[in-house]
Amino acid sequence: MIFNTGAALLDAIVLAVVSKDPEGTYGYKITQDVRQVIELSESTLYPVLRRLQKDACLEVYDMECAGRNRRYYKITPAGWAQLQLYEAEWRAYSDKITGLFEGKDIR
Amino acid sequence: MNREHFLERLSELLAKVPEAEREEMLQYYRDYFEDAGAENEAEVLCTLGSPEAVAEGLLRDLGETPVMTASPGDRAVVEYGKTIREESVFPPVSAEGPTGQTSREVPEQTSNRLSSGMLVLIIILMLFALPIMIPLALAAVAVVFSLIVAWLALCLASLCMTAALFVAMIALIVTGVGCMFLSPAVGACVFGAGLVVGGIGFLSLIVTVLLTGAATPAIFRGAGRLLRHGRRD
Repeated sequence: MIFNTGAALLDAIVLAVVSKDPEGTYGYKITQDVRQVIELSESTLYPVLRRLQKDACLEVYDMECAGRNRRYYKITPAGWAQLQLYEAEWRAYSDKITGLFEGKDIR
Repeated sequence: MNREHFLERLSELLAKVPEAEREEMLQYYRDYFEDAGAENEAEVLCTLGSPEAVAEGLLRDLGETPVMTASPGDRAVVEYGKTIREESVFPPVSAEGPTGQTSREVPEQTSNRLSSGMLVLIIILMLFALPIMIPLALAAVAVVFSLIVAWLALCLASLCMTAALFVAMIALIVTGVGCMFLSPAVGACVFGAGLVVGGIGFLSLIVTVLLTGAATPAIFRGAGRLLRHGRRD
């Protein structure tokens, strides 16, 4: 991948991945899912999750699984709203660039 | 390096981070190893990079200065950190940039500095309080020790009294029985006195048993509970 993934786009991708599991999902699975789409260092995800959690886009809860507590991340209503915003912005952004590549008149 | 080493080293490197936050971070990586499974441990260690690099990424995200420079193996974190920093220096040009980015980082930094300043103040305060605190602590220990000794002395005295009463009882009864042959009335009196002394001796025995056997453990238990409550508050 030669294009950099900025902070906002990474937030959007992680929100989208977490939103696929309405019951919530856990760190390792989120990393694996995100890596299906973009290249991502395994240590990049924690700061993103932490930030989204501080912004109340994600909530966390612990659930027992195989004799230990596993931390789950779940999208909040605020997170859904933020994701909608990101999706609309992405559509506008990518449409413009695609249009430019395909030779359409931008103005 | 294995997973335990990694987590241990990471914990050391994050020593500056507040306890709750550090525990969250470590929990995340502990979970990560668990979920990846033992068979993927080597691969996860390889992709995570060195604990130093991971810690640097985490510390930068907190707005702290990193303790060490990143190793070249962890480019993605470094690049990601750079993009965050660039966005906070230059206002977002496109509509895509999140507007909250700049304001998000600032309060975190100030709160961190404030808490470390407070920590220094508290340490200085404790240093000044040391000349008073040490004698006070010694005095408290001495008071507790003397109370314990006094209590033990009381128990011992009660035991001695019981023993003395029983010895007196035996002596009086033996003397009474002896006197019985010479003068039955005197003998009966002395024998009766022996029985009375014996009765008092049995009462004293009960008191002694209650003091040492029942009251002492109860007092120590009560003191322990008091200490625990004091620590909790």
